[in-house]
This record gives sequence, structure tokens and C-alpha cells, in this order.
Amino acid sequence: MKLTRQKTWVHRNEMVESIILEDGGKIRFYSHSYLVRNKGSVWTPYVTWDNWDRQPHVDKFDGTGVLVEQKPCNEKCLEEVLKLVQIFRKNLLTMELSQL
Amino acid sequence: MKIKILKRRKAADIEEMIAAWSKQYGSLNSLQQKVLISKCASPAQMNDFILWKNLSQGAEFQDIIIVRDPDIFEVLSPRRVELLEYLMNNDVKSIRTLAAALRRNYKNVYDDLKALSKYDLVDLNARGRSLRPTAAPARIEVIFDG
Repeated sequence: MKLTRQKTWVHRNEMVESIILEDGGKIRFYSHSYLVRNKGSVWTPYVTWDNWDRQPHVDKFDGTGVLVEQKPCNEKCLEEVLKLVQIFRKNLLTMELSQL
Repeated sequence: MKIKILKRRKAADIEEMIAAWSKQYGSLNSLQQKVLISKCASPAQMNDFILWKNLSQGAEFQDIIIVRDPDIFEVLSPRRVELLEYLMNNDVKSIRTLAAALRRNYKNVYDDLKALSKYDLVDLNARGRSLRPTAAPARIEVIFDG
């Protein structure tokens, strides 16, 4: 088993935190969270893509850390997530989950 | 351009991480229950559960930081890079001993450490009444990838 935690800073107060668990080259679990640091220096999740329970889905939060919506989606690799995050950043909160 | 930072994780660091989760959540089972009930409402808890479960089973662990934010160059001044290199090569007991070793003012060293810690480049761990600075990375790479 190989476990990788990667924090990718996209801006001073914005990052994507990823956890990837691989077994024999196959990804068993992934979680990519777009987090924003607020004034109290607390990291708040905005959008998360993960395959918890082997069901790839996307979760949207309300900007204060409360989960508001969850939808199934295709498996997402970190590069795809970074691309979305770098283009849309905080606007991800206003987007339709089906577009993500 | 991106900066890739490989974090040093010794067995003792992993033991410290597990002890911190144990203090925060009680046991791995209670954390698992929380994650099952909340159904992904807390990505931090889900990540902690995956890390705790697999690290305690001896999974190989890689801890990486990638910085794509050009503002990092405001943080990485020559003085701070010198400080970081010193920490990567020496064990330091406190900020005061670090300031003395670098022949620099305590407050300036403290401010530099705080700035570096914003990008997780240094860890500041409380030891008694003082803070013990350690360099988080084992290696830092600057990559120009077009």
C-alpha cells in the first residue's frame, strides 16, 4: 500500500489537499479537497471530489464548511481537479455540481 | 512554474501523528463511526481516517507540497532560504538558539519562521514554554514546466 498526501497551493490562501491510496499501482481511494483559508486561519472545504465507499462523487459546501450538495460524478484525477480549481477558484461554489 | 517540496517523515513523526489523532478522536473505530454517519460532511475527518488506518498498517507514506502560487517568492527571501537550509541541516532546540546560531535578532527570526510556516515550510512545535522550529521539507525543487 502506498499513501500520498499532497497539498497544492494555488494561491496564498487556497489549496487542494489530496489523499491517494494505491495498491499495486491501482488507486483504491482518492480525495481531492479545494480548501480556502479564512481570516481565522482555519481551512474551510469548498468542494471535494472523492470515492468514499467506492462511489465517485462530488461534495459542495456552503463556504463555512457545511455540506450542502452531493452528486455522483466520474472518477477525478488530481490534474483534472487542479485544472478546475485554477480556472474557477472560489466561483466553484456558485457552479452546478453536474458541471464539476 | 511550481515548487515541489518533499516533506521529511520519520517513524517518530508518524507516531506523533497517530498520537494526535488518538487524542482528538479517541480511537480509530470511533473516527470510523463518525465518518460513516457524516457521509463525507467532513473531508478532514475522512482524510484523517484513511491516513490513520493505513499508516498504522505500515503503508508507505509520501508527504508532498506543491506551490503554484508565485507569491511564494515573496516568502523565500535569501535570508529565509538561509534559515531554512540551516534548519534542514541542524537540530535546533528553540528560536533563541537558532537566532544565536545565525547571529540574527530574535524577533526577525521569529517573523521569518512564521512566514515560512504559512506554506508549511517549517514546523513550530511547542516544547515547554518555547517553540522548537524544524524544517518540514527534506527536499525543495523548483520546476519550470511551461
